Amino acid sequence: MESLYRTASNFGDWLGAQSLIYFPVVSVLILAAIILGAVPVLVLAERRGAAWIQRRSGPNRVGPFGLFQTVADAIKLIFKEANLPKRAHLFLFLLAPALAVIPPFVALAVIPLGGDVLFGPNAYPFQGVNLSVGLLFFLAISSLHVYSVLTAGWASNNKFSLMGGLRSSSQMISYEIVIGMAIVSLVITYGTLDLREIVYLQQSTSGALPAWGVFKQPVVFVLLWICSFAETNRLPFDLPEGESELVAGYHTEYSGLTFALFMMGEYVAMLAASAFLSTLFLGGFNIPFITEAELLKFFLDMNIEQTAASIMTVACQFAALAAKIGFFMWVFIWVRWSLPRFRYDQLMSLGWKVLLPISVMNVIGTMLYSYFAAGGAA
Amino acid sequence: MDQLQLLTGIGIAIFSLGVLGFLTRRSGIIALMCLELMLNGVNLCLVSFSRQHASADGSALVMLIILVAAAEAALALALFVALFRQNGSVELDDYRMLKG
Amino acid sequence: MIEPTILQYILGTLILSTAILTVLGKNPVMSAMSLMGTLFLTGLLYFTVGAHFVGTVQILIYAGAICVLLIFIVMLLDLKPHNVRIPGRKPVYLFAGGISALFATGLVISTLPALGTNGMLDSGVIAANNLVEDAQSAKAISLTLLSKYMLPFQVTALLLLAAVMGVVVIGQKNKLTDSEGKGS
Repeated sequence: MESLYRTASNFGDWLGAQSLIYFPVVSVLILAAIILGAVPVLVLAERRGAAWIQRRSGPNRVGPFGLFQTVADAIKLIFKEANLPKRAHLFLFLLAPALAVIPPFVALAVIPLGGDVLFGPNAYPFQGVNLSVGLLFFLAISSLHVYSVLTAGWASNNKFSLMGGLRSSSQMISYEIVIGMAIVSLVITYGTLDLREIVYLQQSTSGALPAWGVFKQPVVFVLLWICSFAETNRLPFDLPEGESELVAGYHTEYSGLTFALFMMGEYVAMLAASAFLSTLFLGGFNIPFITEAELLKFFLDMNIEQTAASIMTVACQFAALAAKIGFFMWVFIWVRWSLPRFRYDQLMSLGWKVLLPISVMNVIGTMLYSYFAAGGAA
Repeated sequence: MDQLQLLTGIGIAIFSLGVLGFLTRRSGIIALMCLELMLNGVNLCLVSFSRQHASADGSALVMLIILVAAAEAALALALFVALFRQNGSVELDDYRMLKG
Repeated sequence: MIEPTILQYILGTLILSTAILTVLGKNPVMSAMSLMGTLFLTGLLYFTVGAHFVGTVQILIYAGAICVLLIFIVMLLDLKPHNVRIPGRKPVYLFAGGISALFATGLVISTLPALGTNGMLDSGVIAANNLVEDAQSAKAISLTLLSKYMLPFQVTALLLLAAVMGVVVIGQKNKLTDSEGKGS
């Protein structure tokens, strides 16, 4: 064991002596590996969860408890014929699945996944990239998700796809406006756009409760939760891919690997939305009532060397974040199989006539509260 | 070649391409796209100047230009939709009513 | 004299090619998508010089909202592909225009070091103290915008309000002209 620690610390020293670009690369690769590993689990969880809600047993033949079902699905989709419609615009038709998958991955890069990993004198944040405008960057990249729907709908040369695509994109841009206004009140509360600082601001406790964002801005929490359903095209905002209404909406003409990419993009977008919500409102990677310094000290007191102790701290924090993300994912799956679908005009009037005024009033309320709580003309 | 020279060069190139497209294309909406390209080229030059002098003035102007570009694009598109409803085409050659 | 990074050269090439595709593309949807590509890549270029806030706002508003609106309208009006017309119907005019644009670009670029940085950028003082990053951070931009450029800020807000009202009014279906316009 001790030789393992020595090797790890030597490797840590060597890594720390390299230039600063290697650890971000490593973080990004670890992040990509985590996401790609989580998607099959999510697909299975959705199918088993749906079955459990509907009082039947889901896939349980392939592997123990059906764990390899997603692998079987992937193999089936790879060997299925990916048809290209006759007069479709080929370039845009094949670009749309890529545009569905890439933005959620990029958006997940700014989510803080854990505390600092200490290699010698350097502290590397366990995050893809720590932008000072992380919150706004997440919103910007999420707004690129609309293009996959638009191009898929148009390039399929199919009236149903076009209608589904136009409806879905108008739904997504309407709810993006609500997200923008909600984020304004969040920025007023937290005072920073940096996601890592926001997580560290939620570390302490105020009274008996942890200082999480959900206690400071509950209205924004509900608003952003609803809007994340709309942004990822999940039920109850499912009309664009409503099976009984528009065949399959904008991805009617896609089958085989291109369809698999759309599904993967949807799950990664759900992951990104869940991670965003847990970072802003549930304290991110913080374990409630335990600060990072206490956790690190706990591991250091067991006479573990500094790098390994910091890695174990980060692992605990990442587990906390994963639990919170898992909670949101379960709610995504739960709501999908519980609520009926909104009609298109109900959907649009909800976004424009109900959620937008609520978010604007919340901004005004937050401004007034922060002005008077700071003692007037502070 | 300096970083600033590269960025300003790209900005001027985008601007020139925008001017070329704006004067050349027949469809009104593509002319609008070239207008956006022109504004984007100017933005790039402003950001490189802001970096050169390490001041926030250029970036603040870029924010204002982005906002004005958004408002103008929305209005122009609404006008094109209204014109299309009226006449059935958005080609600039078809609108010669003011020509003497 | 800070050398441009490889990423900036690559981004520059990609920006120019997508811009050419926008200007000379036959299909309007393809033109709009390559405009989105140009604007997105320009946002990335802003990130490489440390203007994170401006880059994010560019991607958010330009690539994420204006272009979506453009593509929406193109799909709504169902514009068909058409041929690109060359000015004067002679390719030599295009060539002459390109050469003069290149000349103008070279002229402006050659005057650039004379615009002056007081030597600060070259000597690495600015880079060492992160002054460039701080000067282009959200805090610095917003302070400048709300103090020095307060009047343009408020006027822009009024402009946006007027634009929203104008769009709603123009976009409405006018029942009178529609029933008359069907004959024309």
